[in-house]
Amino acid sequence: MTESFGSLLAGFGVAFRPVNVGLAFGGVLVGTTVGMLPGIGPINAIAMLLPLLFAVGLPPESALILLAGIYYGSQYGNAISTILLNVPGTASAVVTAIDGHAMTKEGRGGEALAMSAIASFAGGTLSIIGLVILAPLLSAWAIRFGPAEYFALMVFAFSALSSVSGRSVSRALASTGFGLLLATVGMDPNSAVPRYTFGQLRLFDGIDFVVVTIGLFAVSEVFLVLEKTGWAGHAAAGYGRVAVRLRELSGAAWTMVRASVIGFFVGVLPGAGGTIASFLSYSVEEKAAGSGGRFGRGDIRGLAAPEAANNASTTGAMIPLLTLGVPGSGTTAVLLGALLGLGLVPGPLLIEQNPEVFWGLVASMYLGNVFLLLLNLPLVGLFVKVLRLPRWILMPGVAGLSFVAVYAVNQSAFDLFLMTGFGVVGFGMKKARFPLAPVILGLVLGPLMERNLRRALALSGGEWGVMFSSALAVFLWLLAALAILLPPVWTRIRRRAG
Amino acid sequence: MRRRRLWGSAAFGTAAAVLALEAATFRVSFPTDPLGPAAFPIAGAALLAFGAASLWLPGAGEARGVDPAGGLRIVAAAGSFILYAVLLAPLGFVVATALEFAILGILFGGRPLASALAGTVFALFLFGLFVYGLGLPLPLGILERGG
Repeated sequence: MTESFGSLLAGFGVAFRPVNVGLAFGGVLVGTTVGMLPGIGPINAIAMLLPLLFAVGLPPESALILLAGIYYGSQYGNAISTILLNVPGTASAVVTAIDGHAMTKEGRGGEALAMSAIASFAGGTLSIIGLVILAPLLSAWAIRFGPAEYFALMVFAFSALSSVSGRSVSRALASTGFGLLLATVGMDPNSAVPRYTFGQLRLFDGIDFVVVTIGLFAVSEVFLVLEKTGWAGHAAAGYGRVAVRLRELSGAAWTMVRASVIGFFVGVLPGAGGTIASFLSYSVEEKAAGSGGRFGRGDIRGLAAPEAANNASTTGAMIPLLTLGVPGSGTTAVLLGALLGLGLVPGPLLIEQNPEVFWGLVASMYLGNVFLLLLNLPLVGLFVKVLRLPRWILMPGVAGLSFVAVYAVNQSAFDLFLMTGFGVVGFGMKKARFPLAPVILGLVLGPLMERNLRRALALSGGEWGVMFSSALAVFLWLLAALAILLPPVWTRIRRRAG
Repeated sequence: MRRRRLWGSAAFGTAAAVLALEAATFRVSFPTDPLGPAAFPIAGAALLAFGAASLWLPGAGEARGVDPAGGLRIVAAAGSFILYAVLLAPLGFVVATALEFAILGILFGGRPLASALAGTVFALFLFGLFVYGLGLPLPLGILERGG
């Protein structure tokens, strides 16, 4: 463990080079601005800015720092529009909206904005300690994973995500199927057979996940806003001074600690992520406060809990992503795409073979947190000005940024057709309440999953028993089955009980 | 309500069937690859078909309808996106983006002149940022030949 901390210090050495500090600054600034746009959460912000990140051609460690800045910036940007306008861009921000927006209505918006930044920082700081301890342990263990275990783990990631991403498990499974099918488009790497290309040469390389993500999430959001007539823009309320009184802060200190611990451990589980972490920590704090709390009516602890938990779960989610190479959510799936695009392959070998990259990434994630706190408290006023732009400027701006990002992937107008198509599909899915995150996870994990399945079966000569041949694999299959079966059974038991 | 479910199921079921049939044509046999290229897509199609069937399960919930006037605006916007993709190369980034921004601005309730002006400023800003700032090539189109 001391070794880990030493490596982390070296990572900070890289992160604190002047160029990298500048990049972290820029990333937080741009990420906050994009993340703040109505309905645009971190997943969109990263997907929109990713092609630009690749285009600039930075060395990997600098690109990672920029990416971390964008990631944390977009989360905070999302919190700004959630608190001031009550338009959460992600499921986890829904919890933030409860007390955050209630505080704005009471004229304490500035206090809420400051608390959100501080709680996010606390969650990020505490959870990074957990990462330093847990990641090397898990990584050492993960080396035992063979193709069969990987396949079972990915099935677990899908079933866990399906069971939490909304009420209908079967819809989530259908979304997963859609994502897996999208992943097979193009030339099959094993047999060189073209799949679902329908004679289109431009589909031979497959569909880029940036095109799919922007179409499904950002373009469909433009359509959703466009559908509602008479939606007369947002009147961003006044928010007062962006600061928290010391008494309020110390009152929320234990809330932040508890929420960070909950958030971190929930985040490590695939599929669970920020949404469950936010809801869980909120309800824990609500119970802990008892009758002394004003939860739901503007209690600052009701804001601090989800914000700290969400950020801590972000760090927790980095553990399966970095040590196993298996993301458990839409956002980490996009991050995996980003890492692969930079030529970094997350997995058990990363920490051993490229410790400077691994610890550099951890250090830059932390630096992103620090910059968030330093930058956003004084600059909030500026960001709010952007939010006050009328809708007829803001939404075409979102669309324009999407066009450039999609075009930049392959310099091809064909991708713009695809993006429009995915925008329409995404709109339909949102209307019919199909979750979108499993599509992205399916798209990113699909190739990995297929490769591992085919490798396992090639090694066994087509004998399916190999999928259950180790205790670890059986354990993972059981977890996957439990994740799918437990929630409906649980609801039924509870309904019968009362 | 039942009709909407029926349509949803039919659309899903058809898509799944077409995709599975197409997957059945992915044939190649290697002794080292017992699974072949067709199995994985067929599994994906099976999940889709499962989704189609599940719309009929009790408690599946209803899809929300689309407001007709809003639907028309969405069709117009999607059409303008297609137009943008077609016109991007011949007109160039600046002109096409300014035009697209203006169309969307009007759809979102902005005044035509103001939308056009905002679109021009936005397009020039993005062009400057990407081409000069980030070195990302964007098509020049008519500006190249005219200027």
